[in-house]
Amino acid sequence: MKFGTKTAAILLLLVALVLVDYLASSIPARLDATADSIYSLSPGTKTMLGKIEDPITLDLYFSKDASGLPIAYKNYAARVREMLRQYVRASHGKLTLNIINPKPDTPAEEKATAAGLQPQVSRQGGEPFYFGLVVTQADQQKTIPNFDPNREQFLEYDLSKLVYSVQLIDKPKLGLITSLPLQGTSPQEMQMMAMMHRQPQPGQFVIEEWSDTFNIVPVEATATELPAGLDVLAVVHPENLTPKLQFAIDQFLLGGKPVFLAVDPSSQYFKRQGGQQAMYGGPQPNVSSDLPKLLSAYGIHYDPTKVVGDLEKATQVQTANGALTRYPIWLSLTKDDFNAKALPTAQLNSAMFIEAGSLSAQPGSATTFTPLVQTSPQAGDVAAAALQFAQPDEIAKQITPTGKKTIAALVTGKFTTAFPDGAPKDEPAKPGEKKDTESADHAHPTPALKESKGTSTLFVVADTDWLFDDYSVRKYNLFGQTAAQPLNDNLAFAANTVEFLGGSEDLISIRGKGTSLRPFTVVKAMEVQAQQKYKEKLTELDTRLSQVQAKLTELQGKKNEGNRLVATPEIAKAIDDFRQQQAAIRGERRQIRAALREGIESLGNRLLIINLLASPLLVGLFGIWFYRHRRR
Amino acid sequence: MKQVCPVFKREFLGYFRSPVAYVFLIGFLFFSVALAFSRFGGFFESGVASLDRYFMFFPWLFLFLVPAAGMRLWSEEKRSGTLELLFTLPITTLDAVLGKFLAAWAFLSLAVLLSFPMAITVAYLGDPDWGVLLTSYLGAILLAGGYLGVCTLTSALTKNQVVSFVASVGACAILVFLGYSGFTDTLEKWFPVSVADVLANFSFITHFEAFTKGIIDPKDLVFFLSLIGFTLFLNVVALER
Repeated sequence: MKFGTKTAAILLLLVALVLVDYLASSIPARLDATADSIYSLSPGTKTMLGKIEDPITLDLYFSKDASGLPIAYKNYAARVREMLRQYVRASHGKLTLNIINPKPDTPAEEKATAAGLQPQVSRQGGEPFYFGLVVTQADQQKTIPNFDPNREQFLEYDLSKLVYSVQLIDKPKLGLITSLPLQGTSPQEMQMMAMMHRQPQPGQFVIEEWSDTFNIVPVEATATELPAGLDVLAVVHPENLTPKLQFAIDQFLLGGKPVFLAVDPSSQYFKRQGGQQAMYGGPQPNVSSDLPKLLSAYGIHYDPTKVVGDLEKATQVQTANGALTRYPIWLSLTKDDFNAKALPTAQLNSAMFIEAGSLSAQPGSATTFTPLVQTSPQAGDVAAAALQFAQPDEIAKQITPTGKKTIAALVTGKFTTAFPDGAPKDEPAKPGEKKDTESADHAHPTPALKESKGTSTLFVVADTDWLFDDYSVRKYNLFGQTAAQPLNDNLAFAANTVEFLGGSEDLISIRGKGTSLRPFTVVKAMEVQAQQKYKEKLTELDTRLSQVQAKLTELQGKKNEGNRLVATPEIAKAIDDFRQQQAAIRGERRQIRAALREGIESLGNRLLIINLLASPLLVGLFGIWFYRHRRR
Repeated sequence: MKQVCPVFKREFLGYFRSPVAYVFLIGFLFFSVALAFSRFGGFFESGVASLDRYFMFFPWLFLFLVPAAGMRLWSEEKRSGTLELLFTLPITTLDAVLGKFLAAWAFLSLAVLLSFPMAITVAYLGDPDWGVLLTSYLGAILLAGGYLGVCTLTSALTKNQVVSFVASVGACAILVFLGYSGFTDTLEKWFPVSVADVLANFSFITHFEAFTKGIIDPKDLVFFLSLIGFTLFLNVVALER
């Protein structure tokens, strides 16, 4: 070939290379090799798309020409675009996708801002850009103001939720009875809290999750009846509910409407409040909650004085002195601990429960008790009252494993009323108070239900802390706004459950997908074994140490009796001996603590050496064989 | 094309006749494992049964190791004068280029596959996603092919192995950094955004990442294969000039 021809061929081929790559990037198919098909449309999305009745428009706004756009966003935009195309294909013509590039000062930009999209600026500077989605059906419009590459694993859920929610003309109503500030501190309470020097509480993300599908109707604990037209009822950490309200809950459930009930033997929120109030001499709040009358009538056993500790599912926490230790009453649960056959938990991979209680079915109960979340068999009870001053290490020693404990359960079937004598009568009037002569039965003209009309569904969970942001999300700043990334599937579980109770099953099958954490099971088992192995030895050492310390204090007391130095040589020697014993025991305890980690560390080192040497050794042996073979 | 096989066989076995190849294999396997277990990699401390933290170093390891394996492909033949001898044989330039490239690629693939004890380790420690492991290995092999394509080209352009090595490290580094925001920002200052986008699409890292997540996307497959094809074509042109 001549030089000119060669150059032309090279240039042509270069153009072809760019073209081929460009064309390949527009091929919509791709192979998802992950075990859970986390990058493909799930059956739930497909079913949901198949049910769409009226056309829906998807407007994807992406300023692809903006300068300084982070490469991660460009890649993510391609991912979002491709996923939306999959939606359009699966909707059989019900979805229309428009890809819009809103250039500055154009009608497209105005439309984007009018729909609630916000321009973003990357950390490196550059032009502001739009990257969001507007979903419209008739006069209903929903948006994702900013796509966040950190939420890639939840992309399908976020999109499906938007497409689903835009079809809801009237959201179902969720009644919320709670003593916790899940919705944030109200303006009235703020003043009171300021006077008491208490921090106002921001609204929790779980309420945002629930608000996406429900209209939340708050119900006061002092109410005597439930507002009309509720579809689902959530009772979270019930405190001082009036008997009439309890009766209303009972009748709501027996009437066939679903109830979400979260009780807690030890609420972190109230524990913290207790600490603050103690500083100002206030009364200690009750940290536990219960609805004993209702729970026992429905055949559920729950003890508000016991907290579950699990040696295997302990969470690693930092102690006051900065050391890392496993805290067995903070449960970090994984995929295996969730009921894979039940819809609300089928797709969950991780959750965290803080000082949870346990639930079980009472023998002979007519209802069906389905455990949804369970601990490992290495779990046992700890008295809630003993947690106040106990150190993490000491708590582990108090646990004697008694088998799996149920943290959350679904109870279904025909429930019997907790009020066999009908609605509770009014409280007798206090002196000077005008008595309401109207009887409760008159307030409920319809006869009280003695038994469920059809099948009733009650979801019970023995913890309330898991609903707080502190244990469910990591908040961070995204272009000046607070964004949240799930730490675990707590929020997904909360949303799944109420949506399941509210009847939208399609969304549940999507959520939680792709968060599949695959932990080192071998290491976890070793940690449990080590703790079990040294448990007795540590207890014995601690007992000896406190005996020695008691002796020392006693002897030192004698020495300084009446401010006079009366230390005989014998006492001085005994003090010296005990001090030496104390140091020796402490040393032994340190050694055991080191031994607890030793097994795992040496496994890590062994694996490092095996991996460093195995293949090089194989290569070396092959080399020797090859060399000898050649010489022959 | 019939002669590709004999060239491949001769070249591939040739690797094992030289101690340099063993040093290369051992060095690669040793460093890749050491990096994964190091404080930067944190493979064991992460407690997650996945090889993410092993494969994330591959684009950087390959940046030096592939040029080291590919620098001698043509430079050595040119320097020692065996290139002329090679072309007196009844083979075409394309046969020779393909045979040599495939042999070197097979050798690099062998290096990648010899990291199998790491896969066994995660399987022992937990329950890894085998689909993701397989696509990660496929991605690593294609990544090695992409680097190698560039290296064979620089090797064909010079007699000097050191020059070939430095040129391939430079060229491959550009193809790695194209995916970084700072680099694309500079490109955007020189070219329109759409041109900068096309150039940024030629980054090794972005195309490799999808494989490590368990996705086989046609655009990533086409990227590596077309890059290999293009560099091999240039290789032929360079040898025939």
